[in-house]
Amino acid sequence: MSALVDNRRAKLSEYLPWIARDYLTDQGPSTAIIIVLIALFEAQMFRMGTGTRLATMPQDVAARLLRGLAGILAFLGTFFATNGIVSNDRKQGYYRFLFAKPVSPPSYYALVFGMYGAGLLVVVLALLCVWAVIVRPMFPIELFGAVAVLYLAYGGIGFLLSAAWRFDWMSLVTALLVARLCWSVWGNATGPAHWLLYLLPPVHRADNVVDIVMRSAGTPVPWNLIAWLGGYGLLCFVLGMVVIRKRPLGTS
Amino acid sequence: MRAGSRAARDDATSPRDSALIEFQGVGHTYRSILGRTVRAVEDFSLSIGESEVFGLAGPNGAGKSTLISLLLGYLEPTNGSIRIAGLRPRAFVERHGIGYLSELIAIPTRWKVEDALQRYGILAGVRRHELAARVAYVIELLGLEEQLGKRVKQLSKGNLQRLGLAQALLRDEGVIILDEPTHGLDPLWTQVFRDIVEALRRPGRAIFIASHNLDELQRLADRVAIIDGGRLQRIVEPRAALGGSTTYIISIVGDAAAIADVFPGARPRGAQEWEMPELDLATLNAGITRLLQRGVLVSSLRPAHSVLEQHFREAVGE
Repeated sequence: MSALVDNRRAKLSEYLPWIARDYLTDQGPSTAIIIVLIALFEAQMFRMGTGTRLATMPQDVAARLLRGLAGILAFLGTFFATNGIVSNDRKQGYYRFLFAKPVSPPSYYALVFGMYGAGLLVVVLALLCVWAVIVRPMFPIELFGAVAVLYLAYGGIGFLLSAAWRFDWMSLVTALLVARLCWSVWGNATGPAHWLLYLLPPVHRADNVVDIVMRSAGTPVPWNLIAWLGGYGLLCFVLGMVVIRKRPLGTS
Repeated sequence: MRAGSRAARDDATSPRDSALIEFQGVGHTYRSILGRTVRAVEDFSLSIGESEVFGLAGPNGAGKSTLISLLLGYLEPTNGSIRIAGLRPRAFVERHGIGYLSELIAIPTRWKVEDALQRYGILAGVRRHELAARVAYVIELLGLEEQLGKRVKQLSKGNLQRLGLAQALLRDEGVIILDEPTHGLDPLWTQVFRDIVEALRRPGRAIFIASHNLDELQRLADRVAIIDGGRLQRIVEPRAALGGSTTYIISIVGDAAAIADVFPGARPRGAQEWEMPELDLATLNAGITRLLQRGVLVSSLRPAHSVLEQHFREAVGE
């Protein structure tokens, strides 16, 4: 039977440049523009407060400013990258042509998720270059690590929600806010209720991960936190893959 | 369904050659979050041969789109099973791919036409060294040369339809599914489409066409399934059915009274035009011979409804 003989799955690796192009012409610039605007606002506040030019900003102040921006960048960059990552194809009907091809949907979306994460790191590098020109050259390798961990943490949750239903951005923001609230209220409680908190994303510890950006010499890397946040996101990502496999593509 | 027509259906649900696609007792029910249910397809059984052009016709809401979604694995049947070459639809598609043109052409609007074809070509499994040639082939086949630099959102309905068809033909697929393929095409491109489908016909390839256009199915399909209310009503072989009884419209030049003598029951429709009662081919030809012998000239003769249209009207109760 000719249909059986012609067994030729798509080589998704050849599609990678197109995914990278999508990110770098869509979500990437949006992320960069928003972060630059926030940075300009903060720089203006700094100038008004101290009367000092950006180029002469003390090293420790520049590091603090960078650390603050890193947290916003990790959250917004991930939010832009993963919002609608799966649900948009269902809502818009793009899945019809995409997955009539010999392509596995979980593999396709795993590739998109990975490539968008790599794209976010490219945006981080581009923003550091802008920072180097305007403020001073600072290329802390920890910044890339922190953004990558938070991409996995926030992005994994976003990926799962996007695979599960169409209201992904709203439910992601709600989940993160509820988790922060619950951890702040019952984080120090004891008893069985305390253990239920571990079902929620540990986003209240995200700031501790971002702190590694301005970590002083000798301060240990919080590997346990990284594993907790990253592991939680990874688990959500895997669940998202299962949902994509199990949930029929034609349901929105 | 009456016992007689069920027997006819059971016979007609099998293809002449070996089956590539098999529906067995397939049903699909949509369920809303609030628990409301809509039964879209019910007890649908059918086999499609590996070298067959198969048509699917039915009124709006008959279940055509649901059947296609089931065939592509975009929906799972609530009852029964579907197999393509012995595999579940999703497994088949992920292994072999299907050339698919959907009724609604959903392509990201910011993509350029040429980029879209390159992307779909890679996803269709066209190898890197063949990609440029395959893309050039479908561009020429569908006359998209002048649209290449345009974004999808700039395309007219007809050009978008041609782009949709082009992406479905990027690879030499064993199964092709075309949902309302000539929707939005002008008459010239409708004819080109028919020529393309005729050229696609080959041993080992099943072509499945869902259309409202019965004339199109009559010309292209080996068999046509007519569905209504989610159920298979009947299967028609348009070419085999051509010899059956039907009503004809005849136009003549000459003695009008001869018509009433030769074809009792003929009803006038206009100047020198009559609708004749239902006739088989032998009676029709004998009557025309008698008309000619009486010096009447026949200027045109055509079926009042195509064979398929007649079956369709009967099947959906119109």
